[in-house]
Amino acid sequence: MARMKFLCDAERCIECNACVTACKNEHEVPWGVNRRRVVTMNDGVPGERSMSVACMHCSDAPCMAVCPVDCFYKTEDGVVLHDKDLCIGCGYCFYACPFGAPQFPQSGAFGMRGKMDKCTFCAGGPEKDTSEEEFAKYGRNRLAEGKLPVCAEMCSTKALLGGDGDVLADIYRERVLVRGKGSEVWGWGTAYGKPDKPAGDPQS
Amino acid sequence: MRAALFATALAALLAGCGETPQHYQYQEGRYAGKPDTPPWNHDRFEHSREQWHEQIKTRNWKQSEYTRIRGGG
Repeated sequence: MARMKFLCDAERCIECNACVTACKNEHEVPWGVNRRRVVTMNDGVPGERSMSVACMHCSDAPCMAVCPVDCFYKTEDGVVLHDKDLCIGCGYCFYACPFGAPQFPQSGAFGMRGKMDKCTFCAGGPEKDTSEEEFAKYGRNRLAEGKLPVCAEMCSTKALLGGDGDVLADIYRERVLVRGKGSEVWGWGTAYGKPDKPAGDPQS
Repeated sequence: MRAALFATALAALLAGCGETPQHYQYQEGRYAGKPDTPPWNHDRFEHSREQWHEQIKTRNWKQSEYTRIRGGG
């Protein structure tokens, strides 16, 4: 069984925003809603790093935990989806999400908050697969077409990887071994600090 | 009477502390989460999960240029 995940290689991301554009185009996402965005750390400083961020389809998703109407569900492949027919647009999921993934379209004279919209891992929603209704609410269902998310598949530098977490880990491991660096960006040392340096120190 | 009221109020208050179960729900070996057609349940994959998974896996590995150079994936 696949466990669908995204992985963004900060050593490769060139902040071209093509993933953002591809997502908006593929799903015809409304104005003001960005299911994916590119975040740059230390922008303009030599050594800046960029990462493409969207819903990370968490294994223990806080949005699912806080939703008062229980509109979220997780597929067998680990994709976190939601039912827009149940969503009341309360915004709890937005506050709970550490990645700012849930988006709310604003419409009407007073900018009323609509139903939540987020990355679906190109897996649509509860409507009939690849139907017009599903496309109108959630965008294209590429997984049902045997394809991976468009953001990852069209990434020019293959910084953004999407798919089965086990395969992504193997691909990333090979990259780190070939280029001889990069493992320090992830993992235990970065998260918890090294024995001689405190956690969170960017020089460590 | 007062104790019953207190117990009801306490139960209502504590209900907010609960979390929705997030594990995949299986009953009799089958996925029993919210109804949604699985991505492999289509004619193009002959309703075979293995066939769908094989295609996803192939595309997955093609994201690695090392695999493509070696001719795999």
